[in-house]
Amino acid sequence: MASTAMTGAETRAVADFREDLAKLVLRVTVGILILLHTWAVITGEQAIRDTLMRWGLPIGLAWSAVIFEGVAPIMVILGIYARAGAWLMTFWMVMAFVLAHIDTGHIFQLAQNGVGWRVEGPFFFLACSLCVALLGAGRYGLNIGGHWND
Amino acid sequence: MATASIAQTSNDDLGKLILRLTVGILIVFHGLALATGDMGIPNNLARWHLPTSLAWLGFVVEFAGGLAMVLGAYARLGGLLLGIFMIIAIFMAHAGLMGSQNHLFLVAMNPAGNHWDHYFLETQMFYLLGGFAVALLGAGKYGLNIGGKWN
Repeated sequence: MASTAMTGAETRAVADFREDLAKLVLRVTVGILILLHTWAVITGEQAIRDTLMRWGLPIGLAWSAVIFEGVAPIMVILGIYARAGAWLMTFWMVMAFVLAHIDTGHIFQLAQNGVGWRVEGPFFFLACSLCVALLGAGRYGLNIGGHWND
Repeated sequence: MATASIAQTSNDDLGKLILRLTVGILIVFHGLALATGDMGIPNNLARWHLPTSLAWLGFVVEFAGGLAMVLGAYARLGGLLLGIFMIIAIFMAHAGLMGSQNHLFLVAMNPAGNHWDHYFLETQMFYLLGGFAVALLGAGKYGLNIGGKWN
């Protein structure tokens, strides 16, 4: 395969392209999908506020969504300190599990239609955010933030 | 510098592992649901006047493909098959064809049913693009490492 230097370099370029494309796909997927949830919070969706109330926490904390699932995913999508943004999203989703999905037993249940895990969606957000934090943004983005992006 | 690049590599492999386990384990559950009588796929095949026995192909992709990703054995192949399978699934069940609803541009309600909050095909997109991401990234070093360039 790598019998000549040229072949090796080409193979390497293809591998880099694939990695960077995958990182872009992950960033855009997790970023855009979560922004819909954020817009719902901003326009008055009650789930987070209900959870905060259940734990006796200030309801105003729901507005931190603007940072953790608003600004952070935009950083991830654009490639501006994407790793930092992804860690913020990861923290947010860990809190979602701790406050809303563990004591309620959701993590031990199947989805309401009986097909798949009940918290499949939240878990995808948690895991994909963590993946972006660990993998970095790759080449396809604004490339701002040095080690905190690449 | 050498230390930094080693840390980078292990972070990469950890990210690949987490992605594989997430996509792989979650889709295996759907394979099991299909095997234990969930009619989602058979019903869609019937609507398209296709033999419902073709659902076994879905089981292979969901269950065997999922396991391939989890174990790190032909993980890229498993991810690629899942991505293609999800495109077919969305085409057949969510695109408004042959009597299905068109969910492509639909925002859906929260579990409480009192506020829209997510893209209708959110989970499907996670499987579709997560599968392709595994196919593009490969398994990394944490796994059985079976399958050569397909892993």
